[in-house]
Formats: sequence, structure tokens, C-alpha cells
Amino acid sequence: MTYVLPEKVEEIAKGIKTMEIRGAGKIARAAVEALKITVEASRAEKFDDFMSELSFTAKILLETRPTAVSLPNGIRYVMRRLMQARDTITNVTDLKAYTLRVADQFIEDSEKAVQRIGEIGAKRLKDGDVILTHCHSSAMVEVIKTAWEQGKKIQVYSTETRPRFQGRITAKTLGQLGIPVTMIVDSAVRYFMNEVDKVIVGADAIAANGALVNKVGTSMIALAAHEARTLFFVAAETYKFSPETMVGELVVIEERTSSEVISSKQLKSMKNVTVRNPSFDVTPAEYIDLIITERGVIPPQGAMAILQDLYGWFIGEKMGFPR
Amino acid sequence: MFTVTNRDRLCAKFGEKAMIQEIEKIVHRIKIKEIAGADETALACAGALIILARHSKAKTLEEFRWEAKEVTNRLVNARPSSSSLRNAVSHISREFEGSEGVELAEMRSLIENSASRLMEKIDDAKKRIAEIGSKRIRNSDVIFTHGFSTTVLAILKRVVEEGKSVQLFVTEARPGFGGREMAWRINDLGLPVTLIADSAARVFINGIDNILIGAEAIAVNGAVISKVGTAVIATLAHEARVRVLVAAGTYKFSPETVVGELVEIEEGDQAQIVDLKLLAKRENVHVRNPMYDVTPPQYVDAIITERGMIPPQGVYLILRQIVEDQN
Repeated sequence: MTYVLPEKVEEIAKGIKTMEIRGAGKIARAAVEALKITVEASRAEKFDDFMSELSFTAKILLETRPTAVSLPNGIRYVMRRLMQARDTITNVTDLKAYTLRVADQFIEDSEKAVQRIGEIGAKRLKDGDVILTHCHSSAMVEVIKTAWEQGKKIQVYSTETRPRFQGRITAKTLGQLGIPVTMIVDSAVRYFMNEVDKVIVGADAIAANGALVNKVGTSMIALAAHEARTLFFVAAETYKFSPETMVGELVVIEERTSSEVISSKQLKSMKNVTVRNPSFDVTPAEYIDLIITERGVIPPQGAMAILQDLYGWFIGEKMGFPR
Repeated sequence: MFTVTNRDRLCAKFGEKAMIQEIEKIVHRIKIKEIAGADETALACAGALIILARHSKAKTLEEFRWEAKEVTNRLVNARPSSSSLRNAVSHISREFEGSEGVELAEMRSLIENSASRLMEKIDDAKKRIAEIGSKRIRNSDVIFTHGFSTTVLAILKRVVEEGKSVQLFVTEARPGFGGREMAWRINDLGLPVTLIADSAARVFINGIDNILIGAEAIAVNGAVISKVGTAVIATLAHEARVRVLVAAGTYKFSPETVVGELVEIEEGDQAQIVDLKLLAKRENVHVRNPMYDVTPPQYVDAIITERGMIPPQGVYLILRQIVEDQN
């Protein structure tokens, strides 16, 4: 059977790849949305055909951003439930409807997760706090926003976040809420660290040992915070926790194109110059004071518990335990 | 400040507009940071004072002193919080400010000699630092540098001349992207260089043998005032137990600072960080742009000077020696 990828799915895949769709939550929701589109467009009448259509979409999506943990977690959430339902729902039409419900459930939960993190995280912020942020993260913004709306007078330092300047989005978003924001270059974090009460960042992934994978520069900021004894918080939905790391896999650090750092034309004329452009870095758990999830605050050492609760079946499966 | 009235008075005194324009040009180039490195700035200051010493139309010593004071003020005020600028100017003026009972002609040559000596000192220091620094670099070392530094380039040039092959990691050094210029120059030396965003420093630190950086100024306690970001790189080098070497001539040692951390840090233009039009639209968004930061002496392994390699704690001793030599 030849299967053509729906156009909208291709658009989503492209959007994720080019980072038009960014932020782990949005990526996960977009991926699940792409699964929904695939279901809606599906003419499959047999379970196996239906599955291979979905698997094809899933494969295309998974290849877009190999390091985005939320992406496989979102896809896994849907696919896993679909596999489990197979025994009870034999009719493919019903199965399609069920898949759509599951997908909607994920999207709804994930949207609520950010809001819930905002509520939980805001309790950790005090009136008069000076916050430092790096990059852009919906969960991080939500924490600051919620605290601000509770009447806490907060001030924010926002790094510009080279090479793609996502910090400008954070500055703009928080500024529009009325929060005083000061933009600084990434290199200036240590210069201002003594004025900062709390650092809050989002997460791209959290490993089983509590290590944080986030926008490059995060680990440097965490170190500077640690040195200055400034609290370091991570705002992370539970779909950011990486079950693969429980079975020993390393989180792959994606490297992006050199043109983000220097124009290709200029680079070409310098034969001895190469560019390395890692998107993320790894912050060791010992520099992290708290991870704020929609299920509550946990120390980084609690990552394992979250993984076991949410993805225990996956870990068991990967390790070859009977289900 | 150099006011319009002052300027008119200077013009009248000098009776030589061309000379004033020349000096003004130097001041302006320092102000807009076209001349920006610590050495380049010092050389430019020395140049301005030599122009004055040679072409001033002053008829009395008092007039000449006043003119010299005016020019030094003008230079310092081009970037009032630049430590390197203050250092350079006080380096030259130290020699003529105290001199009593000299003739006008003597005073002219005092200033000229003092300025020329600083120029020579910078030149000689760079050569000597290159020799000493190069000894600390082993064949196949991986060196990490941040910001643009002619002193670091001098060391690397020497390393190449000695036939050692090393590899460089260079940060782009926001906000001015001085690191790009640095990478191009290293490229021209024929050394392989990897350009990275400043934030990526910690990702690569474990593969680095030496951090080698220049300095804007060095405080008496050995704290290093250098391109913003140096302090955080030194912190993570310390964390990874990678050596931090600072290359700086002793003329960058700043006697003004009894406690290093009190050095005033100059802020650069906001436009380097954001589009000012966009910024104007966002009333709650501000910009801070410190040009330098202070690396505490405990994160510095050695300072390579023309007088030898010293621990940061040795800065005080060298400064004391310099003052003693002068007296």
C-alpha cells in the first residue's frame, strides 16, 4: 500500500524542523495534532494499515528534532494507548475515534500542565524577587506571570540567548504584562548574579539522574548561580522527562547550522575556521534546587520517581520485563 | 568636560586648528570605540600627547600645562569609565604632572618622551609576553580564548613561529562580536579555529588545555577586568580544572584600585543588544550592557607580563616595584 503523508502533517514537520514551532509543549502538541490529522485523513480499513499510517507520520515527526523529548513522549502517549486498546476495540472506525480522544486528552493535559506549573511555581516567588531567565519557555513565563498577577512585584533579567535570540521573546512577553525586564547578553549573567534571587529556566529534557538538558548556556548560568548561592529553578512539564535515559541512553545534543553563528559566505572565506553550534547543554543535578512540574515541586533526584510513575511500562518494556 | 568655551580657548591658545582637529579626531575615535582595545587606546592617547608636545603654540609653561591637562581630560572623558584609558593617560601624565622648575622646552620633551616611552613599553611588552606566553603552550594544545586581544594574537603568532601546532576555540563575544575578528586573525595565522556562541563555552571546556585571554586592566588584588563573559568562563574553567592564563603588560596594572572589585565597569550602547526602535516601543523592557566584568584572582592561574609569569597575588608586588622605580 502506498501512503501519502497529508499535506498538513508535512507542514507541521517542517514547522518543527525550522523551529517555527518551538517550545517543547508546542512541539508535543503539534506532533499529536499531526497524528490527529493522520487519523482524520486515514482511509485504512484494517488495523495494520491504520497503524502503519500512524507509524509513518510518527517516524517523520521523530526525525525533525531528534533531541526534543516531548515529541516522542507525546507520540508515545497516543501510540501506547492505541496499542493497549487494540484488544478491546476491534472496529477500526471506533479505534480512530478513540485515538482522536486520546490525542485531545494529551493536548488538553499539556495545555493545563503549563497553567498548573504557573500556579505551583508562583508560590515559590516572593514580592520583590529579582529573577533571571534564559531562553524562552512557556512554563517559565507562566510561573513569572502568575506571580506577577498575584501582585508580587517582580523584576526580571532576561538573557538575549544567542545564537537565535529567543530571550527577546521572553523580554517582549513579560514586558507586555507590565513586568520590568532588563535584557543582557548571555555573557553578562555572572556580572548580575549577585542581584538575582532566583534563576528560572524551562527544560528541553530531564534525565533520570535529574540532569537538565536545556538551551545552550543554561549550565553556565546554573554554575554562576551555584557559585553565588542563588536559587536555580526549572519549570518542566512531566512530558519533558526522558524515559530513555532510564535505560542508559544518552540525551543527544543536537548541533544546528553554522549560519546561526556566522554567515556562510564569511565562513567560506576562512578555511581554518569551523563552527560548533550545540543547541543544548547539560546542567548537572547538583546545581538545580527544584524542578517545578504540574504534579508538584520535586528535587532533581525525584526525576526517577516521575519516570517510574509515568513511563514505568516503557522502561519495563525496554528492559525486556514482562508487561 | 571639554566645553565649547574650552575649545575656543584652546583654539585661540594653539592658534592651530589643524592640530586641535587631529587631537579631536583621536578623542572621537576613542569615544565611538573605533579605537577600543586597551593597547590601541593607550597608543592613541600617547599619539595625541605627542602631537600636542610638538605643535603647541603655548608661550609659557603655565599655558602649556593647562593645555596638556585639557587634552588629558578630553581623552579620559571620551570614555570616562574605561580603566585602560585612565591607566594610559595617568601613565603618561604621572611623569610631567609633578615636575617643578622646568622650562617650557623641557616640559615639551618630558611629555613627548613619556608618551613615546609608553608606546615602546607596549611594543616591547607584547614581544616579551609573546616569548614567555608561548613557552606555556605545548604542541597540540587546545586553547580557548574570549574576545579580541592583540596580546593573545602575539602569543599565538609566536607559537606558530616556534613550529607548534595548536587548535583554538574562540567565542563570538557578544555584543560586539569581537571574537569573529579574533577568529579571522587566527585563521590568517594558519591555525585551526572553532567559533562558538559565548553560551557554549561550558559544553567544550573539558576538551580544553588552556584558557588564554587578554585584559582591559588588572586590579591591585590580581582581579582581571576583561571582556564581559570572561568571569563566567574563568568560573567554569575553575570547575573543570582548566588553567586560566591572562596575558597583560604591567602598564595595564591599575594602581588606583585598592580593592579590585571597585573598578567602575563601563556600559556600552544599548543598540548593540537590541534595535532601539523596538526598545522604544516596549516601555517595560530595558537594556544593561556592561562591557567588561571582573574575574576574581582565585580563578586566575597566572598573569603573563613582560616581567615574567606571575600569580595574581604578585600584581601588588609588581605595582610596588613600578612605583619604587619611578621614585
